[in-house]
Amino acid sequence: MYNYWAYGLLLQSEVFFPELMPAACVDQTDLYVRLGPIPIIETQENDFVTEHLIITPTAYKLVVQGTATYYAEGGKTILIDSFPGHDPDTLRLFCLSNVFAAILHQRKTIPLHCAAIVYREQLVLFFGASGAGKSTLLAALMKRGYAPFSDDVCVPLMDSAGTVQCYSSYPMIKYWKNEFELPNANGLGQGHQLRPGIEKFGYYFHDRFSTDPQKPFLAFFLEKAMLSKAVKIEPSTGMELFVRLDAQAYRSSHLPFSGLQVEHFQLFTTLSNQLKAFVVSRQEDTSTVQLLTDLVEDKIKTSF
Amino acid sequence: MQGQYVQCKTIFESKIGDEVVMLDTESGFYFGLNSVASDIWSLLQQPISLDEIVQELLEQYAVDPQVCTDDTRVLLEQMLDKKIITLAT
Repeated sequence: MYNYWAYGLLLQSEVFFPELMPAACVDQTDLYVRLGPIPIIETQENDFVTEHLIITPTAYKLVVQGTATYYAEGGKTILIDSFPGHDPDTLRLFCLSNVFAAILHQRKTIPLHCAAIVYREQLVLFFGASGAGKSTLLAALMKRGYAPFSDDVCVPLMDSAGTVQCYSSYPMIKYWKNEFELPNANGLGQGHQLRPGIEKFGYYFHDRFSTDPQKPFLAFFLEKAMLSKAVKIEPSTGMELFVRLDAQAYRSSHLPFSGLQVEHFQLFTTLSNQLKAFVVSRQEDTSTVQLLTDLVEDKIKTSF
Repeated sequence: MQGQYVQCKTIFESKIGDEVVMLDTESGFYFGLNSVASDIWSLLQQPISLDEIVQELLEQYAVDPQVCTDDTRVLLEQMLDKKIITLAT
């Protein structure tokens, strides 16, 4: 049995996860990850049901052909029934993304799809669609000495003062092989291929990882500009900011079936009031990365 | 427009700066109100008529009474159409 910390949770796992932060064996366990057969899920009319995916407010089932069938229940249990000959890296990858997202939804939390760094004990968040440049910008800022917090997901919670704090997910940064600069140049070490047949690699930063929640203060929304070579940064406030944030829930397509409509609304209205935010648009080529990083770094330093 | 109007109970609201954003839990739709519309929305916490709303607004804003009445009527019709307010019984 292995003990880990991930997404703000303490878990006991029958599966070895090199991606996760090891934790001491403690009395309190939030989540159990077990290997074994999957139970049948009772569904109602409003639940999401297909051959490969079932989502109810309390249960989740995902079938990844050739890899495993995953089951998550009550925010407390993950069961994995693996296919013979499965790839173990692929098995862990789907568990850490889709299944953990289901667990968090069942626990009434809505993870954010963003990268983050720590600056002066607060968080700077980076939002954007896949391929918008979050990891590239994260790598460039790390090269300038900024501390990484999370690569892909932050887990928000409301503290007793009504402020949103965020937990990180786990200490791995994911890069495509054709990123503008090799991750080795950032001192991250040799990459580990995430899945067979996909040129995406994972780099661990366990030695710099924080399991403490931090308060997000500043946010950047990365967008591709199709026509202009220049990099533009413009503020985002009020309703416009709310609409942008609303689109950033991790695995947002699952939310209507998870019964989290009001929690979603309260989280994103609070964040809209808490964050100073900017929209950054640039053409997708390597020549603008230096300029992008310069402008973002300037905004970070002048915003605190 | 006769009668009194009041907020629907299925609406959750929150202020973002000067604006109000609302969630209709029945439809799942969001609505946004600017500063003046937010003031009108606040008055609709209790049943209130069009004339009473206009009277309140004229005390706060320097605006032509007929323009204020016409614009408020349009807003109330839109809110009724979106089912975020209802006729008070």
